[in-house]
Amino acid sequence: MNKGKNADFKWLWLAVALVALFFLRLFFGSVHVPAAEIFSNELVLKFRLPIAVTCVLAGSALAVSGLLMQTLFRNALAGPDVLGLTSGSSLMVAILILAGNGFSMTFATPWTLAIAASVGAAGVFLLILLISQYVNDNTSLLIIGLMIGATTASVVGVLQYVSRAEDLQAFMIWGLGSVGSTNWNEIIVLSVIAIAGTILSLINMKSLNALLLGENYASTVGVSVKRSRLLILTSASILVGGVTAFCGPIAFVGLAVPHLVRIIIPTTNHKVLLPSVFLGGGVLLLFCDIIAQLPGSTQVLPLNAVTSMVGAPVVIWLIIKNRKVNI
Amino acid sequence: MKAERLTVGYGELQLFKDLDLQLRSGELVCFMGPNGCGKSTLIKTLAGLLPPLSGSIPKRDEKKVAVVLTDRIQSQHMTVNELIVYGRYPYLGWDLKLSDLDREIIDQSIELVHIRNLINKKINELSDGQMQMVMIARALAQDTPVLLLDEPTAHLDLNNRLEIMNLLRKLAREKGKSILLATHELDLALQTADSVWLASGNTIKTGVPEDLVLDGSFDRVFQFKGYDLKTGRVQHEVYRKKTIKLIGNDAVYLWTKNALERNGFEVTTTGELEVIIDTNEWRCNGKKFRQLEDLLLALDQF
Repeated sequence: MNKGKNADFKWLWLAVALVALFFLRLFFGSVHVPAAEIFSNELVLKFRLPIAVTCVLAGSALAVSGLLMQTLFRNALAGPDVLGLTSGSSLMVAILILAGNGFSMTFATPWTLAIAASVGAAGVFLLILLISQYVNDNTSLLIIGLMIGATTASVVGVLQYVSRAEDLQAFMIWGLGSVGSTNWNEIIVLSVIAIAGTILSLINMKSLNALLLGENYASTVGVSVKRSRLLILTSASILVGGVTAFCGPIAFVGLAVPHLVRIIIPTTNHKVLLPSVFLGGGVLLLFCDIIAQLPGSTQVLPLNAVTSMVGAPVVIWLIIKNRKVNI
Repeated sequence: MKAERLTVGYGELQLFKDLDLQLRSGELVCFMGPNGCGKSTLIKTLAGLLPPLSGSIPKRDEKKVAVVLTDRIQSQHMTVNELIVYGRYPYLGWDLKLSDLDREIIDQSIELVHIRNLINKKINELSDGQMQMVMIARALAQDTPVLLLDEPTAHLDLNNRLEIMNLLRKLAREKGKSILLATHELDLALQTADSVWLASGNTIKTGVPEDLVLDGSFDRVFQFKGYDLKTGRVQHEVYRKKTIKLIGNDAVYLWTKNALERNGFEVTTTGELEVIIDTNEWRCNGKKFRQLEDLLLALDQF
């Protein structure tokens, strides 16, 4: 029993790590700012603070969405990028910017962008859910997710080919987007989305736990599988859509964080897992972004390259260690 | 629990038609039938997991019916304790806070099934038998008057099977629960069930196990190949010319007879060769044998 109590509070360490990395992120950058000036320096407040806040929000949102999908599909390799949700979001953003004929970036408010991206994610999620009713096999589901991703990517390619030059330019800028290009308006929208999606998941944690037993057992302990699927679809889609709308596609965070967190806190209880994964997502993305700054140099790496470098080995290591991965 | 004019199956496929079934409280019912006859489908239908093709069953109520299915639970990090807590889910709010009563009922379930030594283990460290006991504890924690179990004793050794059957009988009698379990283990079911549901074609014959044995229902359903249900023995072909007159009693007599029959001898009261059972030895043709193996070898020579 004591063991369980300790596990319940292990997530506090993640909170400590999050705060520490947050300040480290404010400290590191291409220009050296003395530690004493961190809260008064204009450069820090204007540029580094929004980046650090975005890292926390985007990392947390992606990680929570990854956990939701792994639980729903009882598939350890599920995640927003693997199952094509990120691509769905990108497609909707592309349609909004490229096919909008004059409806360029200037007219797209943070809200319309976020809503469009969420609708794109939800569309793919719904498709995967429908297919999962017929295909009862984890590997096939992942392959189908990858195929959906490939299809949407090629549609985006076609849209780029036929779109006007100025729209294309706006889209290219969005596509390069990372945690470094968000303004405060976007951050407000992103925080509303990240918090709403996580609260929605917390309300749903009883169903999430029950789904780990499989849909039959979940039903026999009084959980409505249909209702919880809908809740998961909604929360995961807005989380992924929100992040993708403002930061572009970020790979591996959603997939890797739930596994990394379970190494530290080995539990299946979403009451502990959800807050832990939320914090863990922020920690990982802050960590990756600090590495991307290459502290001490004036060069900056693309964030996606760093998350993949951290995420991919983790997945390989997990599979080799367990011969297979479990949720 | 009652089901009326119940037809179950999938789409076009009707597995059972127009069933009228009843589970009384305090009764342990074994649901038997050949593999693939639809036992799991009926259990899932009664549990409200599959819609019936027609007829009436009680609405799914997680506070009335608990089930143990054959679905495997795969989770690397789940502990036995966490799994048993799921039994209380019908009574918990969204925040999953356990009341003192919840804890007490969980504790009782762990006690009843004797798995206190397992509660901090991960479920993937358990043997099949231990996992089955844990699943039963989980169902008990649900504190329901009806318990439906699908093949709870499959893949278990004799001791574990007996332990589970005895536990279920005790629960039915002492707690007044209605327990239905699907199984194809004939011997165990016949000796422990209060009543038997026997799947026969697309109907189900119900009754006290002994009645169904004596009226030949079991023989018709299972088409036994060399098994005599009325004596509970496997039939052996008599392929030796000699008949044996066996003198003795008790368990030694039964096991000696078993060995002789398996080796193709007919054991009669007027056999031509006399085998006498004495304390710790067998006598035949003036010779003494300390072990049955020696006796059988000698009989080969006569």
